[in-house]
Formats: sequence, C-alpha cells, structure tokens
Amino acid sequence: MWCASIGYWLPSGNDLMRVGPDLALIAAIVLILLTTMVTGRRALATAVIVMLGLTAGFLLNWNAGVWVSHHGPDTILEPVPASMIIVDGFTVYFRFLLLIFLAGVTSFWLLGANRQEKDSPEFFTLLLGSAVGMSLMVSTLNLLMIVVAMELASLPSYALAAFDRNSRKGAEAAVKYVIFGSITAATMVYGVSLLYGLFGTLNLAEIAQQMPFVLAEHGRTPLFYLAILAFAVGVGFKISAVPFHFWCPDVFEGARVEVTMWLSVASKAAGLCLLLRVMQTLAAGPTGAVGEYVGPIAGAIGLFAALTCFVGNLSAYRQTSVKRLLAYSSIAHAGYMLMLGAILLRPELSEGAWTAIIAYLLIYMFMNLGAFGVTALVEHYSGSDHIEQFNGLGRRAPWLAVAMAVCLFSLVGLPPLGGFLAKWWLLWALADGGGWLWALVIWACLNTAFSLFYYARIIKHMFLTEDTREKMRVPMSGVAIVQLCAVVLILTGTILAAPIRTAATRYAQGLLQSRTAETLTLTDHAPDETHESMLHH
Amino acid sequence: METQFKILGILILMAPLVSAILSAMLGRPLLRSRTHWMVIIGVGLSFVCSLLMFGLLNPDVSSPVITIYDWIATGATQNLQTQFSVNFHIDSLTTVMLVTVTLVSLLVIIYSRDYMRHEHQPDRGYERFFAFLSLFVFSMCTLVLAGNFLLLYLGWEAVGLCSYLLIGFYYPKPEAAAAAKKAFLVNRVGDLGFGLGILLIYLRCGHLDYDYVFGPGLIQLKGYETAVALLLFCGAVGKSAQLPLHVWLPDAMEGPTPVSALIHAATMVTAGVYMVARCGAIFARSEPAMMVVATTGAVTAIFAATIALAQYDLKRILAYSTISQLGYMFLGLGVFAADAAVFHLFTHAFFKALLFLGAGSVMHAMGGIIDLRQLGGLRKFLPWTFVTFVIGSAALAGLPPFAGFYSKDLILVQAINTAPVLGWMAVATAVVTAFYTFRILFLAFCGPTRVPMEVRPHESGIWMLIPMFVLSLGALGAGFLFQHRFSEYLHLVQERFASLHHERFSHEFVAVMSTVLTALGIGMAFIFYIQRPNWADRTRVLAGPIYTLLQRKYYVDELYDLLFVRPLRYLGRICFGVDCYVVDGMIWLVTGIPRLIGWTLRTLQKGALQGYGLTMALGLGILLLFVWFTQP
Repeated sequence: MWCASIGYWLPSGNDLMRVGPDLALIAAIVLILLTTMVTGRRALATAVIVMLGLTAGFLLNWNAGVWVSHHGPDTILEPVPASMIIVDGFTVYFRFLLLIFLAGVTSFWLLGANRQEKDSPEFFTLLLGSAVGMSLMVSTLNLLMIVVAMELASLPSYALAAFDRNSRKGAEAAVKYVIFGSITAATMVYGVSLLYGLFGTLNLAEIAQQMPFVLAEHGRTPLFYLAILAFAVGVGFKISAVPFHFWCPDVFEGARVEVTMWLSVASKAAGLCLLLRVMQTLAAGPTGAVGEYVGPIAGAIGLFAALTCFVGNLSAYRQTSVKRLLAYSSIAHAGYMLMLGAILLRPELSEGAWTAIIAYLLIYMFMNLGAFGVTALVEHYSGSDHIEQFNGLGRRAPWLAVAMAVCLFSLVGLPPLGGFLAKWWLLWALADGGGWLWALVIWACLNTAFSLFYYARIIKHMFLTEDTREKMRVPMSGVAIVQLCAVVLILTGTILAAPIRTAATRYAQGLLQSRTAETLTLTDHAPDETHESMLHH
Repeated sequence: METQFKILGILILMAPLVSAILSAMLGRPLLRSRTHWMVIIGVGLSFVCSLLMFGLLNPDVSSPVITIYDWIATGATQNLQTQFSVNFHIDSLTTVMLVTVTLVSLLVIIYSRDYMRHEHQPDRGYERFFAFLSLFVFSMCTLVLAGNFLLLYLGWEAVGLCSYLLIGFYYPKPEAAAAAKKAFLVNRVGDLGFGLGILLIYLRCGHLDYDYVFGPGLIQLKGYETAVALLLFCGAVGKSAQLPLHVWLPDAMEGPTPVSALIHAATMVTAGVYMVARCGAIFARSEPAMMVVATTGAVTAIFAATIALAQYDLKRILAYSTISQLGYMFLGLGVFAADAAVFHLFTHAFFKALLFLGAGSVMHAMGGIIDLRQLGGLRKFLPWTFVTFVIGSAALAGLPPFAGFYSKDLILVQAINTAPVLGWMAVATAVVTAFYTFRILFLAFCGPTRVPMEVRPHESGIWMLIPMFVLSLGALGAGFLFQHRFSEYLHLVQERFASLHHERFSHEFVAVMSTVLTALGIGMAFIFYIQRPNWADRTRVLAGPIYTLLQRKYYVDELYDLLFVRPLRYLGRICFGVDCYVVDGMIWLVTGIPRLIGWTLRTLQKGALQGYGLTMALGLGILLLFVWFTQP
C-alpha cells in the first residue's frame, strides 16, 4: 500500500540536522580514508579526525537536542507513513553517551602501544561504522530499519574482533562471532517477516495499535509470540543475554581491551535501548491488549534477565583475566537492566522504568569506561591483563588503583557511589510493580552480593598483595580520564544524585508524553480500515 | 541566620575533609613532615566555625533544620518517604558536641606533631596518620550534625572505619592488626541492631528526619518505642563499649596514644551517649528501655572499674576507666538526667584526653614502656607531665573542684533518687575509681624509681605540653564554670526527658558523701602504694582467686572465644568449603552445560559451534514454551 505513495523523496535540511551526528561520524569515516591517501597511515592524524568527527557529532547532537526539546520528537522520511527514523529525547541522550564512550575508547587506543600501529585507519573506520549502526538502532521503530541498523552495527564488530591479524585466537573468535551473528540475524529476520505477514506493516507503533484486532482471530497468537521471540533472539545476541551469549568467551579472549570494552558496553547498551523501545511501543497499544498479549513476554524477559545476570556473575567469578572479568560483569549488568524490560510493558510503571534506565545507562557507561580504561592501561604498560598484573597497584600506580577501586565498588553498587543509586532506582522501579517482580528484586540483590566477591578480588590484588616491581609509568592523560570517571561516579552518588534523578524523570515523562501523542495520531487512522485492507492481502 | 548556619555547617565538615584529602594526596610527595600543618589548619577552621555556631545559636528558639541538598529521591511509594536529604539538625546538643569534638581533636593533633615524629617509625605513615585523623574529625562532625538517621548512620560507620584504620595504624604488628579486626567485628554486632532500629523507625514512620520522627512520628511509633529504643541502644553498646560488647576497647589501645586519647576516650566512644541523648524522645517513652540503659550503665561502670584495679598496662587501665565512665553516662541517660550525662561527656573529654596524653608523654619519655611495674618515681623526670596528670586524676576521681566532680555528682544525685540500687552501685564505683586512679599516679610518678637502666626519661617538648596544659585548664575549670549554665543551655534535651524529681537525698548530701568516699579511696591507694607497699602484695595473695578473676578481666575474652569465635571460625571453614565445592560446582555446571553439548557434538561433528547453536535453539524453544504456558 505505502510503496505506491513513496514517490520521489528528498529530506529537508532541517531533517538532516536531526541525523547530523550520524552524518558527522560517516563524514569522519570518509575523511579518514581520504587522509590516509594523503598523509599515509598515521595513527595520530586518524585520531585527530576521529576526535573532530566526535566533536562535530556532539555539537550537532546538542543542536538536535535543543530542537527536540522545543518541537517534540522528529520523524524523518515523513512521506512514508511508517517513519524510518525517530529523533526524540531518548535518541539524543543515547547519542551523547555513545559519543562520550567513543571518545574514551579512542583515547585508550591512542594511549596504548597502538600509536605506532599502521592499522589505525581501518580500526577507526570499523569502530565509527559500528557506532553509526548503534546510533540508528536506537532511533527507529521501523522493523526494516532495525534489521539494517543492527547489521550495520554487527558487521564491523566481527572485523574488530579479528583485528589482531596475527592472533589465531582472534581469528577463531571472529569466525564464531560471525556464525552466531548470522544465525541470530536470520532468526530475527524470520521474526520480522512473520510480523509483517501478520500485521501488514513494518511500523512497530502501528503493530501495537492493531494487535487486538489482528490477534483476536484464533490461532494467530502463537505465531505472534514466535515472531516476537525470534525478533528478541537477534537483540539477545547483541546484549549477550543467556543463552545467546556463547560468542562472548572467545571474543573477549581474542579481542583487544578496547574492542572488548566497545563490544561489551556500547553494543550492549544499544541493544538494550532498542529492546526497551520496542517493548515500550508494544505496550503503548490499546490498554486492554497489553496485559493479554504482551504479559507473557514480560515474564519471559524477566526470566531471561534473571538467568543472564546469574550466568554473567558466575562466569566472572573465577576469571583471572581482568578484561574478561569485566566483560562478564557487563553481561550481569545487562541482566539487571533487562529486568526493566519486564515492567516496561505495564504502562503505569513505565515512567519509573524509563527514569531508572536513563540514569543506569549514564552511570553504567562511566563505571565501565573507568574500569576498562584502567585495565587497558595496565595491559599496555605491564604486558597483560592478568589479575596478577594488578598486584600492588596501590603502590605502583596509586592514582590508577584508586580510580579502579571506585569504579569496581560502583559496579558492585555500594553507596555513596553512582552505581549504588543506579541500582537502587532500578530495584525501586521493579519493586513498585509488586507481585512476582519482587522475586526479581531479591534475585538482583543476591546477585549483587555475589558479585562483590569477584570485584573485591581485584581490589585485594591491588592493595593487599605485596609486589616488588617498580612503579608503573602511566601517561598523565590516561590517569586523568580514569580519574574523571571516578570523580563522576562519586559525584553522581552524592551531590549530583538528586539533579540526575530529576532530569531523568523529566526526560522519561517527555518521552512518554510524546509517545502517547504519537499513538493518538495513529488511532485517527481508523485501524478497522487498515485491518480490513490487510486481511484482503 | 539559616544561611549563616548553613555556611558554618558546611565549613565545619569540609575543612577537615579537604585537609584529609589534601594531606593524603600531597602528604607523601610534597608535604612529608609538614603534613600536620594542613590538618591543624583544617581542624582549626572547623573548631573556629563550631565556636561561631555555638555563639550564634539561641538555645531558647526551636532548633533549625538546614537542608544542604537532596540525596536520593525516588518516586513516592506506599506511605514511605522516598526523599533522603543531607540536612543538619542544629541545637544546643549539637553545638556542645561540636565544640568538644573539634577542640579536643585540635589539641590532640597539635600534640601528635611531636609524638608521631619521634614515635617508633619516624618516616612511615606520618602523613597517613594525619589524613586519618582529619577524616575522623569529618566523620564525627557528620555524625553530630546529622539531621536524619541515614546521615547519622553514615557518620556512625565512618567513625568506625576511621577507628579501625587508626587502631591498625601499626599494621605490621600482629597485635595491632588483630585489635583493629576485633574492634571492627564487635562493632558490627552492635551496628546490626542499630541498623535494624533505623529500619524499624523507617517502616513505622516512613521518614528518617529527626524533625518528623521526634515530632509527629512518635504517634506512629506507638507500641514500638521499646523495640526501637533497644535496637538503637544495641548500636550505642557497641560503639561506647558497654557490657557485653566492651571487649574491643582495651585492645584498641594498640593504636597510637593520641588516637586512644581522641577516638577511644574523648570523642568517638561517646557517640553512643550522644545518640541516646539525641533519641531521648523515643527512649523516654519506654520505661523498660530506660531501665535497660540505666542498668547496663551502672553494671558496666562497676564491672570495668574493678577490672582496672588489677591491670598493669597504663593505657589499658585508662581504657577500662573510659568504659566505666561511659557507664556513668548511660546511667545518667537511663535515670532521666540526660543533661548531666552530656555534661559528664563534656568534662570527661577533657580529663580523659589529658590522662591519655599524659600516658603518651610517659611512653614517649620511657621509649614505649607503659607497664606500671617498670615505672615509678617519674615525678623527677617529668615534672610538667606529673602536674597535669595529677589534675587529670583528681578530675577522674571526682575531687572538688575538679571537673569530674560536678558532672558525676549530678548523675549520682539523680540516680540515687530514682533508682537507688543503681545509684549506690555508682557510688561504690566512685570509690573504686578513686583508688585505681591514684594507684596509677602513685605507682608511676611517686615512690622509688624502677626505671630500667638503659632508659633515660626526659620531659616532652613544648608541642606536647601545650595541649596538655590547655586540657588541664579544662579538667580544672570546666565543671565549676559550667555546672549551672550547662543544664540551662541544654534545656531542650532535658525537656524531652520528663523529669521525675522527688528528692530523698539532697544534692549537698550526695556531694559531701561522694567527696568523703573519694578521699577514702585515695587514702587507701596512698596507704597501699606509698606507705605500706607490701600491703598491696599481701592483699593480692589474700584475695587470690578474686584477684585472678579481675586480672583476667572476668574471663570475658575467653568466654567469647569459646562461645562465638571458635564456632564462627568453624562456620567460616564451612563457608569456605561451600565456596570451594558448591559455588565452584555451580560455576562448573553452568559453564559445563554448553561445554558438554559442545563436546558431545564435537565428537560427532567436529566443532563446538553446532553445540552452541543447539543451545540457542533450545533457549528459544524454552522461551516459546514459557510464553505459551503463561499466556492468559
């Protein structure tokens, strides 16, 4: 139906401004490739371009944020009823986090021994490419766009995992990664096609609206569940939810610290945000339908969230490689955040859930940036990320050790650090739901207590294990970045706690209001008619 | 007015915190042996601000609550308040505590400048010591200024942490490390109760602000006062080393002497007293709780005082004396004489800190010897220390006109009139106190010198003597000067404790009696240790088993070892076993399932990938089944 109406389309300059940050990253990629032809393979030149791109992206995103706060969310590709890209407050927020995190990854790449590397243009091309994909993942509600964006994010990641061309492990890991990626992508596309077959549209908001009418017919519900779950498999792969996490051990083993950091934090955050957005949209359908059709999905998500954080914590427990320990801990954290997916389907709770997720993402990013950053520095300057290398770090590099301790305690969720508040808000939002959600709360608390063991192990190695090696010489800029993360965590835990909460609440309210407005306009479309016409197909 | 209080409060907290952070950061690379200046300035500023706050506060006006900022705000749920703020509750009790804490801290820090330099390890940990002390001042001020239970708890735990760090200051020494651990663990027992008490308040009232809990919240607490009060009291028992959790304080003397003076005598251990006084509104509503407080206080007072009779370690005697004096304070709180208890806290801070600094001076002079049997005749070598020690001893024993007399007297009067049995126990304690105090004085400073040949005692330097002089002034005059004004100033606290005054024994009678009894105790000590030294030995032989009982501190440590330490150690081993076998087994299992599938398939098809794929498919299948079965 809508294919006919697409006609000839050009985006307005105004629309392009909204996707400016993505365009800036793409421009940076192009520039990197061009500059390489002029200056040769210079790591520094590449990094400068990346940083310029990031700055431009940041400014454009700021601009988009201002625009969104004045005009409400923007939908791009207007002539098509199913808008391809949505730029709302959440998109802008996620882009900010992504850009900051990219800047962190770039700095650690440079600070490491990679300065002399000849391959940095390729590295950054891949990195920025996957960043664009992630940014798009979070700014769409169109199933087609979701698939494309996820592939855009995934394909460079495969290459990143195998970036060490001499490493056999890396190559093996990348092959596994590719195969899993394609299996899950195939499953996801299958789910998407089923959804399209059921509803005749690729727009999730519309699907949500039509759900009660379409599913009322006997025998369609199982198909719907299969479709949604097959779709969720693809996302589950991205956030490495159990049992779609098998690629992790190999990839984390074979990839470099920076890549591990990128794959285990940014990629996961993007997947989570996508999933939460989808959940939220489905839940925004006609009120009666939500409990009936989407309720069981919430249960399934809760179950797998619980499994994910459990397996993540258990796998981290005996790791001797700090990089992998942190990667597994990020799986556990993905599990905690995934728990929120279970309550997003209850409209009365979604405000609390969004508030929690917004705050959690911010703090999650900083604590992982800090912890992975210290690990990267230790790996570069002492040769390995084995936990033994952290011995006596409190004396050898006190500034690094202190920052690491703050980040780790924050990852555990101890007050007065940011991690505590993030977890507190998350659990509070869950507890608000009551009922079986309490089981999730208790489960999360138990897991938190359990996670203390392995985080504290690193701290023990840093401060209590004697080591006679001489002091570590770490560049000041690296120390400054991790210290900045530590300071942010302390501040978010104390003075900034209330402002963050207020801001997150306002953000969440804005999001939900705009969402409601959107569904209202969609209801005007007379769903019956659409439904009828769809049945004719 | 409010802005002024806000600025002062923030300064009082931030000055020591900033100086702690700076001396920790700059201490080793830059300041080194000048680190003390950083801390003296920080704590000095804090002291000046406390004085200003004291001067600005009008005790007759209802106390202002000053919100600094909101910390956690979570959406409202049920009837629970979900906004926790950092706020200050400033009233006369707060200002009195603040002035006491910051003044004594300042003096002790000045004293430490020389003491820590010459003590044991001149180059190791000088800056660490001062950073910890400054952090302690910050924590203690947080505890005192707090306007809600959450912040109180935070300060409470923070002072515990500082205490732990400072007891274990000489951590390579196994005794110090063990003592630090013991203090920390014993305090956990009390803090568990304290935490539960706060939780109960929160569940009943839905608020943690003092303003609410001690106001409208009291109605909601109806029926739970005793439980709340007793749970809170658990925390006080731990922190203030009352029976049965007193065991950590004597061991805490392993820390540097200035720490013993500041934390384990003058300030931190009185946090329990402060807390009970602060929560007077809750305690006063529960007769049984008050009874428990008073009884614990009185029994601990006599219990610790008798142990002090048979000890030889100078610092440990003083530690037991601290426990005993804290017992007095709790007795005072329990018999509705909170103002007297706080007054005793105030005077005690001066004379006990003074005595500890005197002991430090002796240790300093003697090269670390504090066994009374090796001291003696030190008067010749340490004239100034001797003078200040006499003043401190007289104040501790409660001789008029020294400070301890007035405050102890107020508690005794109230105790005898409201709970006669406990009152008379306290009077008996006074005699014992006088005896053991002067026993120290006579054994250490008078009589023939028993100093080992190789030690050459010398008087301490001016940096150590000046704080001692200032504290002597306090020990000399604080009681006399403030005896009437104090109670008037604190009237807010007193008001909350409904006064039950029916005098059977007049104030004058108790004063005269206690003076006579104190004199008696001192006289006995004089006879035993100066005139007829052999009497002491004869009594020791005569009292055989009782003496051993006292010397072994009533075997409490041994009892605890049997009852708790060993069983817990076994439990620890079991936990370790669980960790080794159960948790590891679980990990093995969880990681093993995919491994197993991979292995099975690998043997069939050469490659783990299929196994993983199969697990993923299984996962999807389970998801589907789950959704299918849970759908409505």
